[in-house]
Amino acid sequence: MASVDPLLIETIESMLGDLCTPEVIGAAEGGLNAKVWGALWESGMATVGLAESAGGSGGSPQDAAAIAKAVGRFAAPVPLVELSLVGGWVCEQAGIALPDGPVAVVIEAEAGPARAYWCPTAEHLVVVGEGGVGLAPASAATVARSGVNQAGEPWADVTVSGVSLQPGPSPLDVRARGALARSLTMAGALGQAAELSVQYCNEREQFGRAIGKFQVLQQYLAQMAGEAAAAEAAADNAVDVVASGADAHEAVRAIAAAKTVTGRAVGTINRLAHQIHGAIGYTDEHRLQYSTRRLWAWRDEYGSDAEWAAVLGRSVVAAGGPALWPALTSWPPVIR
Amino acid sequence: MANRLTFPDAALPASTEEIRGRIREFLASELAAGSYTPKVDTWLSGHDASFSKKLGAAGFLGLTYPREYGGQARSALDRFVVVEELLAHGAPIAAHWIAERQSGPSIIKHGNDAIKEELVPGIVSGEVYFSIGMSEPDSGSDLASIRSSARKVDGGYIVNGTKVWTSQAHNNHYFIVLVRTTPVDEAQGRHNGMSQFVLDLRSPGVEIRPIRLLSGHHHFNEVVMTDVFVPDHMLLGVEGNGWAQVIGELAFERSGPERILSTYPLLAALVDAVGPDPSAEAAAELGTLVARMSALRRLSISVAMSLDAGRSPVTEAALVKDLGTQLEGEIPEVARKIVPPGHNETFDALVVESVLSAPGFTLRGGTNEILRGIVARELGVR
Repeated sequence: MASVDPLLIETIESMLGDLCTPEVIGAAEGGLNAKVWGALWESGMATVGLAESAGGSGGSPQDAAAIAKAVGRFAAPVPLVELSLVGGWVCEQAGIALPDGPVAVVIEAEAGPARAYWCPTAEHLVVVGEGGVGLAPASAATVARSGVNQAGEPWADVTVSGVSLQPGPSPLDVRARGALARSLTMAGALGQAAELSVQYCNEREQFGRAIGKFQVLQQYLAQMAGEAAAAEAAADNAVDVVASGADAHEAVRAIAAAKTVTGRAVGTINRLAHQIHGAIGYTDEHRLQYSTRRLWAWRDEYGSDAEWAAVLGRSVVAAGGPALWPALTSWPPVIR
Repeated sequence: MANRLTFPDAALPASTEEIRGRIREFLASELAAGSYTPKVDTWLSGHDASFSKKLGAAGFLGLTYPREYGGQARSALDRFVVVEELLAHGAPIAAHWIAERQSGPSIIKHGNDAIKEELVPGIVSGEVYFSIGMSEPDSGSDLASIRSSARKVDGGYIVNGTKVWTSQAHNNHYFIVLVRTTPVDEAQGRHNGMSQFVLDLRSPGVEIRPIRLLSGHHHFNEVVMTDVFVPDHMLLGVEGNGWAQVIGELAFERSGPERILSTYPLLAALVDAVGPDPSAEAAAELGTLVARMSALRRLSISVAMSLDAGRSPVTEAALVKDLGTQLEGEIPEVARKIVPPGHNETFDALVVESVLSAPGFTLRGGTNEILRGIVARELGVR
């Protein structure tokens, strides 16, 4: 386990905290905020975790994960993880030079167009199919349909033609990387929704006292803290397994666990966060929505928690009961 | 006061692998020899003195204790590994459990030389067993309201009062009993004036009455103490300092893997009961339990590492115990949903045993509501 330099976390949190005001996040809906993207790109934060030899900023997978969590925590309206954890990783693995702008990842469907998150804002497409992987300009996409997710983040269903493919990660492995990216941003956003709720409980007064004085709300806050901690732990396990150089099958299992726990935590945390915030938290003007709407969207992207839980469940029964405990005790990997 | 809790440093050092290998070999050979049958909730109900003695003889008990009392002065993470293996394999470990987990460390920390020499080596060899003497009929979550008392006499103390929910008192040798040595109205504050004694459960004046559980099991007892004499050297630590000592004991009591793994043997059995070709729903239900288990185990490791580093992660332990004990109860609920009753006798028995044990998971060692209160206070809202 590589520990993350606290200075890196401080830097990214301070950068995103300053830039990602509720006004900026709200105004970016339907696209990305160029100023936020520019700051992340120019500081090198957008490519932390990708090898310098491949054109990235270097750093460990845990470093990249810390940045992804901050992106989720501050609801940064940019497709950073599409580059740092998914598309950029595909390029690095395949020996393709890292593109110099926002990317979207197109994991080709068996038939028809494929859903590509953030495609409308991408300058480059990382195309992944059974035949290999390749890089294409955004203009190579034929858009069948486009829209926004529950958080106003854009997507498009596309087919891409004329891309030269070369050996690279499989579609399943890339989908898993996408699930890892969403697990990490969810871990950050879940923590944020829980923290906003604590703050609100201390600020809002009813019956002559802060509502946080009521035991039932204290119980809610503790439950939320628990769910947020479990979600982050699951995501961190997956990052550590990936970073340890585990084989693709093991990485997929750990990521499946991460997407399952983070995705399931959304139901509980969003429900309680909105219950605590009352009617104001349900309005357009309150910032809580920038966390909760993202969480509702992200839990469904790159495979829902139900889908990944079934992947993990099938893998567990295939290995048999006696193999489960050795598997569980290999996460997180021991420190060598 | 923070608005969030963090769980850093979660990965066991490679140095723990040697002992993990050894305890797995030990368990495999005991299982093959038929010396135990894997069951759930064995740390509370699986009282088997011969098994505990074997563990002691093989050097798996008192790992963290100082060498002068028979311990091995090893890391708490080595102990974490041994304990989680014992729990996951459903081994019968209730006999030595409380003694090894909290009584021994408490005696080593607070006890005088005589009491350490008398009792600690027997804990390490798996031959001296302890119960917990905290709760009373009118003092559950509100432990500071206890009424049991001790008064000074020549050469010792006379203890009177009643303790309850005393697991395995009828099979164990001692308990560390929390009593008032100064009446509450004379003490400066209700947390003052309490003391701990090591009380021999075989002493004259001790009556142990069984309290049967709804499952029919007998591990709970009521322990009535009538003019029980306790010699001076059995006062644990400082007279009047009992509350602080007891809080220290709770850190050991709340932080371990037994708060996650009580029904793990059922989860392992469920994997095979589900079979190789599960429906998407059954696979997802099983996968969710496994995913959750893996996340909580990481949090548990983080707490263990924090304790090992000399910190006091009281709130973190409370949070993990809240989550872990819920998962322990969720496992039988999912099991009966995806593998209907009538699968086979062994599996069905594990489900039934888990269901009947489940009410205790979220009560013992501090109810989940109390634990959440501790978490909420740390979050800054009380």
